Amino acid sequence: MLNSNASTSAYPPPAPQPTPSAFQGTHKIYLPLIMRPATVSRYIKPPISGLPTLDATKFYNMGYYSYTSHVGVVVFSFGQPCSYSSGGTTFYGATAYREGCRGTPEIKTAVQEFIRGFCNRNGCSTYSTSPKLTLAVGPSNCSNGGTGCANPGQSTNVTYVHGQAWSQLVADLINYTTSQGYSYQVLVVRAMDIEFNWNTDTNTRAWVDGYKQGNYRHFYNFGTCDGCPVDYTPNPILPNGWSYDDAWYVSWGAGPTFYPLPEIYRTDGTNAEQWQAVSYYAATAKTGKMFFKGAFAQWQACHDSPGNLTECQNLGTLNMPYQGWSQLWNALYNDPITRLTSLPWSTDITWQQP
Amino acid sequence: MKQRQKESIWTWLVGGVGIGAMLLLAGTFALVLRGATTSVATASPPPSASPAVTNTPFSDLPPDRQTVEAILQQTRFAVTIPAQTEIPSYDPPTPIPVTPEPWDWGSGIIQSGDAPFAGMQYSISNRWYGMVNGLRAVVYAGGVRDNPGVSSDVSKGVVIVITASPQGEYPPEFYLPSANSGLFTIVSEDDLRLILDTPSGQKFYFDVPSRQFLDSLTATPPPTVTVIPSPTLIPPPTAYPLSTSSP
Repeated sequence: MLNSNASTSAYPPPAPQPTPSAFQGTHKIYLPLIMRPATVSRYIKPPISGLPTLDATKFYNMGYYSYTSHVGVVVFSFGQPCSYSSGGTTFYGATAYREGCRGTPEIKTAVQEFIRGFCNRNGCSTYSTSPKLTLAVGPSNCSNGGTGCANPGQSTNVTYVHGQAWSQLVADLINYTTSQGYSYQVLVVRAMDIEFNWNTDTNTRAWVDGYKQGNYRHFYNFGTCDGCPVDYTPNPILPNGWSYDDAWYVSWGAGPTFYPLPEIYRTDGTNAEQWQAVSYYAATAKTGKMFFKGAFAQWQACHDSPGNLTECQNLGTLNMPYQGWSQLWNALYNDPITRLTSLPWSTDITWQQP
Repeated sequence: MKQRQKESIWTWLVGGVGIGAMLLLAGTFALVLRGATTSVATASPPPSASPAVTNTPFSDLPPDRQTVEAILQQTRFAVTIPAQTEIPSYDPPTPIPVTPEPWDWGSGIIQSGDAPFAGMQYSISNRWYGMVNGLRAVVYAGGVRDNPGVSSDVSKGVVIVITASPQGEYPPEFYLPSANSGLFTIVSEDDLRLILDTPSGQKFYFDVPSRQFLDSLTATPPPTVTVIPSPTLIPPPTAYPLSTSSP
């Protein structure tokens, strides 16, 4: 299935080369930027060979041994929001794609161990110039039950109070990095895989609003713009009551720390064009264009399973990370209204759990 | 003399106007050229189409965001302990002893679309879990989206099987029916055969041990196509293929 001979020599992926036409007739000077390879983001799913709980040792090892692949932004995708009661107290958390619910205390311990492993290997300190990690920790906006997650009007944990609880989780992680002297190398941010097919705009906005009640901390939406047209069209009909305004709100408009880090999977550039249209909406109907944190790919997840690779190829969702990044950059750049001067990151998700 | 003076004035006037017109034309031409070059410039992406290595806030962010970024930078380092003088060696946490659970985890259907697959390309209805040939198994039912990220329509159902031995989990296996079925939903299980409902009402049957779609609940799966799970667990990362041209 895999060509092991090509394992290390081809990584990182080559940077797109400047084209001569880009220098012709321009009165602007663009300073060359340094290529950064894509980081490895992960679906956090305990293997079904064991308990559904999060193994702190594995998280430590993940941070310790693969730290070089975590320079930049890394997303930990924890799946559907959930809750449970214990001793009269309600705990909130995420499923980690298994049965039951992983509460925020368990998630906190696991992520702390990842950070500790990263810093033990990497030498995080005030004076260190070692590489920096931005760790985005997030659930999805998947509702409880129902096809494709969506179950509007029925049970969901995508709520205001869950948003508050997740906000507190990340605040605790940030306090941990600060108290340990890791905060110069590690920045923990909040995140959510927001997909319009998975829940209503109302529920998702409520979760985001609960989230906002915490301290000012970054939030990255690493989701999709499901159903969005590739060219800006006023008032498109989107799933589950979503609109451009909702997409803008949960990615950018909810506060000055909100940023999009969208999934750019399609090789034909459709996803990039969809998000460019949202930014166009932001620029023309709201307060200004959106600044994106980067592009999110699934090239490695496609390759983690032969069957999934076939489907990714058939469906055209096999963007390599730098392809997704380039598509988003070009889509935004081609319209002066949405053009950016920087698109910092590129990340790629995998199923692999060290 | 007066006539000569008049001619001279007219000559100067005409000459001046001519020169002015020429200058105007030249200026217009320059502006046109500049416009052309500008349009070329704006039509071409900058040459540095690669992720930047710096993590600094955008210099052209809206002012309110620049203020917030500055505040965050300051508060981020508000409390720090002295720098580590040496990097600690490998120091994993002490594993918490856990009570081993029975390997046989029973069986049942979980009504949730929560699944570790790209929501952009799969729509998952629910999942079944059980034991198959001594392996733990989770079988997700749903569909493959016709136009990922654009349309929610599903023409083809999909069954995704994940199995695990006590040593670890195997990569997911994906099974699609030969004909369009619409979205699958598991309604029940009978002797490791899943009964799959579709929007049209047509039933499909999936035999989990053989990984085969069957015509009926009682059909015998072809004996030669029994799938044995791959002997390797989830493979190591795959290198990105080398590219010789810009995307």
